Amino acid sequence: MRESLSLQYPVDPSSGQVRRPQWQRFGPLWTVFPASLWLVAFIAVPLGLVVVVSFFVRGTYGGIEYVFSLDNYVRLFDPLYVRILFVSLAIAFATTLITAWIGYPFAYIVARAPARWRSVLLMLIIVPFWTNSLIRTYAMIVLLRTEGVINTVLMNLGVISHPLPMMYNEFAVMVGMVYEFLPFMILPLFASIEKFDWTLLEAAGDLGARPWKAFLHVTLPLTFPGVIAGSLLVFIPSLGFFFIPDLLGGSKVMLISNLIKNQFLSARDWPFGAALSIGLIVITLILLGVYFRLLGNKRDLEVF
Amino acid sequence: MSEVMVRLSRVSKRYGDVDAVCGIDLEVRRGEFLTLLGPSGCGKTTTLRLIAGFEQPSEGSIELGGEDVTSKPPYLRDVNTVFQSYALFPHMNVFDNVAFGLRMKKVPKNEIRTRVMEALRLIQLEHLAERKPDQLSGGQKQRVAIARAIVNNPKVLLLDEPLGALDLKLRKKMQLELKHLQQRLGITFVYVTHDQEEALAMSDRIAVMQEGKIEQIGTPSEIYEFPRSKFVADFIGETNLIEGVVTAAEENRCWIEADGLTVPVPNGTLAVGERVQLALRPERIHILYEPSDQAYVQGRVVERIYTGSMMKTIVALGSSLTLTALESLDHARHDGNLGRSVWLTWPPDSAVVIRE
Ligand SMILES: Nc1ncnc2c1ncn2[C@@H]1O[C@H](COP(=O)(O)OP(=O)(O)O)[C@@H](O)[C@H]1O
Ligand SMILES: [Mg+2]
Repeated sequence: MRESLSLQYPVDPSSGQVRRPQWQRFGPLWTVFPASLWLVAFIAVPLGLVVVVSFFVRGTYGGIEYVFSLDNYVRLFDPLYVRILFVSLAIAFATTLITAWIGYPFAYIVARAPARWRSVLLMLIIVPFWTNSLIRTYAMIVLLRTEGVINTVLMNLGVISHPLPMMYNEFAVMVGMVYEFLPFMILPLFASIEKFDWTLLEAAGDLGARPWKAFLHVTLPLTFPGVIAGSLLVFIPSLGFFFIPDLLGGSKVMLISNLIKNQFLSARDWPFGAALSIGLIVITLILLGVYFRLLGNKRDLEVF
Repeated sequence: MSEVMVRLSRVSKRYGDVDAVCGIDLEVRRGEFLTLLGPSGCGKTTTLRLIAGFEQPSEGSIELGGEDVTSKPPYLRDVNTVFQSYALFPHMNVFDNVAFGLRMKKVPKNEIRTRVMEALRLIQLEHLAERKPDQLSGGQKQRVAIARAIVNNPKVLLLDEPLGALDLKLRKKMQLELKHLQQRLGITFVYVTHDQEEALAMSDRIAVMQEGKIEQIGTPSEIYEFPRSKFVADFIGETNLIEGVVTAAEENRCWIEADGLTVPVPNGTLAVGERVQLALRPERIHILYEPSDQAYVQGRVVERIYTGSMMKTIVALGSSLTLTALESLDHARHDGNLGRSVWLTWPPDSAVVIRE
């Protein structure tokens, strides 16, 4: 590599380094300029603002008083908020688990389907994205509420005598979250299952592995990068998603995402909302770190 | 020795409207090295997959060691396969790959260790037990695939073009190694290849396949010396095929006329007027540079091809017929200029009559 370069460009006799034309030294760097500008303007600056605001206090009328204080961070450890965080993590975790549970068999079936069926099935996963997810969540309400479609049908069939309480509880939030995030689980899973060499499954069977064992020892470990990628794509956004718990959980279910939203919109306590946001980011980063420590080596990340 | 380990009875396999295998009967004896040989697409792999249990036959039955396994899944069949692509588990090291079959059978841990190490010793890879498959060369992967199969002591080992991906030199070496391994362990081999040289060198018996059927089955020398069909004669080695008509017949010989030439053949079963093919191996033909009463035909040299170890001479006879002769360089005359007249002779029994 170095040799072929030194054939093209003169070598500086004093430093022994290849002398390249001026434009080539910085050339590639200029191409990332728009992207860096974007990142700085819309991620670094707002994040900086959030960090700064989190150290101020709330003004009497909902403004910001520019007085340095750590009170917001102390407040994070209030058992009330710790509990909300805990429930939020539990729901995000459950969402990840359930989407993986449902998504894996689905992705598996799609990947093994004949080629002409595969694109149809993948379409079916993607079609819901054509509708705004807020609208889809409202559609969920139509299905789940007390005099909603499901209850009405079941009552008319005589299966139940009283409407099932399916709205404004954790159940509704879970249903909504799973529905919302299932495609984010299925697509990376599909990508990694599709790459799987099915001869390996035959080899396992040939060596005496029953189908379940062959799956456990060969298929699952080799498609695990897809599980990891899908889990990240579901877990992180589901922790910050607020309108599903808002709409489907009602006032009974308060998650960290609603809490943050409320601080900014209804409570008008921007500094505390900012501190909550930073807390959420830190916790997400810690979980990611633990996650990669436990599961991820470089190989497993090939899906990205 | 004559116990039948694999028996296929009128086995067929159809994919949609493609007949991959049609009505095969095959018996493989204990300890035998049987090769399925044929051109690409003739149904060799399908036959092997039927024996392994990856495919279910559309018709017919399959027995392994006297037991009908036709409807049994692969994991209940006492056979192991060496895949053409090796199919080593990429997330396991060499040791775990080889141990996989034993673990699935719940063999005690200590025994697994001894048996795996023994298998690795057999293929001379004990020192690479900790390596992952992607850190191995093609030849090493090949050996691991073999070790992974034989460690289970299968009744029958199925090998689908196991040397197909190796370069020529390594391939020749592995052919010998495999043959020795098979003789040492006494395992029954069903071996698939499209390489006739490989088949001739390694097999106890060869089944030549074409379009889903077995054309001929026999020892390598039977197949080579006495091909029973034009296809077999043509596919195995190089051969001169002459189409002709029986013009005269005696008790134990007859004369066949082709393109104005008459050739005597030591065969007393043919009737005058019958149309037959005559198969003549190039290396059986001797070129004489003087007229001789031993010569059967006279011709003209049209091409000489130096192949390194042999000299190939193409001789035109009559108007449209050519014969190819292959001589060792000791015998070949280098002054055999193009265009000169030569006389050809061959041992009478080397002209094989094929009746279609
Ligand atoms: N899964 C399959 N689906 C459809 N056709 C197949 C399938 N497997 C094999 N065939 C067809 O069956 C014939 C025999 O194939 P195969 O046994 O692989 O031949 P070989 O191993 O001798 O090259 C071929 O014509 C092939 O196209
Ligand atoms: Mg094949």
